[in-house]
Amino acid sequence: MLFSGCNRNFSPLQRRSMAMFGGLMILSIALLALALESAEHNSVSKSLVMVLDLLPAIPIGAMIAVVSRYLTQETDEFIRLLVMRSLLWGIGTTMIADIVLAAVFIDLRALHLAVVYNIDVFTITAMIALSLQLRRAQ
Amino acid sequence: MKNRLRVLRAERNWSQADLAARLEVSRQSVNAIETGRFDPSLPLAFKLAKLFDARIEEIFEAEPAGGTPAN
Repeated sequence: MLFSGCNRNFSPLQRRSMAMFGGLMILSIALLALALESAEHNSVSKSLVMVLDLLPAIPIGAMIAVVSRYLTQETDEFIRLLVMRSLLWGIGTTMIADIVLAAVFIDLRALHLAVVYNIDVFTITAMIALSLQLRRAQ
Repeated sequence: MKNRLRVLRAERNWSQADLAARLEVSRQSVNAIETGRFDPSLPLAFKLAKLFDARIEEIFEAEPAGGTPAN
């Protein structure tokens, strides 16, 4: 996923990490959507809403673990540098997007949406940054 | 940091992909090192030296003081 858009052969480690990261990202978005839905329905108990609110933290934590494990196991130091730079671009852009979102929407509902939005912005920015860097390194 | 990687590689008729395979890194890494955009770590520099049967300082040359760092 992070390497899409560039012609290179992926190592088994890269393939495995991308598959796990992508799967966890979809799971976290699905859980966030479920939490958002449950918060809007009064029929759901408060304790269940709280559990559903906390649930997306698990796949997000696992995503960090996948990236961390990938960076530890990646033997190509140049690719490792590019991935780390891309992650920094992803984090930076997400923070900027959050500031803009906070300025535009002052709404509790936006808090839930912001987390879904954060994952998308982070992943897409990191993917674009890595693709551009790999293309530059051709 | 300047280096003689391109010359050494050409002497052996190796492509960047050949050298990358021998070093077990990506071709992009070899290209980045050759063009001076990336300075390899000491273990990779030793690997290069061993591969070309040369000392590290015969492959890499430090920029004069005040030079622009590669990355």
